[in-house]
Amino acid sequence: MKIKSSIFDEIEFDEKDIIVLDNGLIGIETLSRFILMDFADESAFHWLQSVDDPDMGFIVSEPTIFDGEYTFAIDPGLKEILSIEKDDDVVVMSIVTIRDHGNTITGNLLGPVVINASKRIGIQIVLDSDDYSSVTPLRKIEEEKTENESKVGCMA
Amino acid sequence: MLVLTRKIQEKIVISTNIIVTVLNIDGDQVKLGIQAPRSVSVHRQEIFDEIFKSNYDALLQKKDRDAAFQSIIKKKQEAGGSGLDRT
Repeated sequence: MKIKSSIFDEIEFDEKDIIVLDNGLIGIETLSRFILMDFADESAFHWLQSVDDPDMGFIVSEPTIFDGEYTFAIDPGLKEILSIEKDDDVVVMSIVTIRDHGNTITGNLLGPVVINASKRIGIQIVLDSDDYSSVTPLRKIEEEKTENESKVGCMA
Repeated sequence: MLVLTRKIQEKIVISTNIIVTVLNIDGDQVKLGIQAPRSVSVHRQEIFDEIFKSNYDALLQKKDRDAAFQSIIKKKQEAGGSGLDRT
């Protein structure tokens, strides 16, 4: 399957790679089918390409680059909606916004996208929490690097 | 807009399966209980608006894309990252 995107010239993918966000994203219900793409480097950022409108897409990332302590509970209702059978199936992504002519990068930690990676379905939820913001600035990448290095050290 | 007057513990039913109950009234605060199927999302309006706005702010079209990628790369380089090959 191919789509012609003005963002990337042409994108080829298997239909099984499509992630369906059943209700779309909040306020943008017309876009429900997406492909999650990696950037060329091993970036924590990914590209969520709309299949419904090839000219549209989002930058997303693992939320931990914005907040290393980020955590929330997946309640039984959400498990049911996403048919989650095991925790390993769950992928959480934060939608990233580039602001201030590229000088500020923020992540939406209040409204994460939760995906069942094996069933390839997802939903944007809104956390009932005052701890997280929809405009969380990117913390210093230096800190992140140090943390990653120490994680690798632990695993070795 | 349909306007209904309710007392504490009285309910309204929306469609066949959404029930809103007035649980308590304290000055200008009203506590509502909402029973709805799990597939129905319920949000406070201001939070919904915030996420809505955030999604639109994040939505990228071609004209924004290159600048967005560049700024991510710039941030990495500023932070002493590996420096990407962009050919």
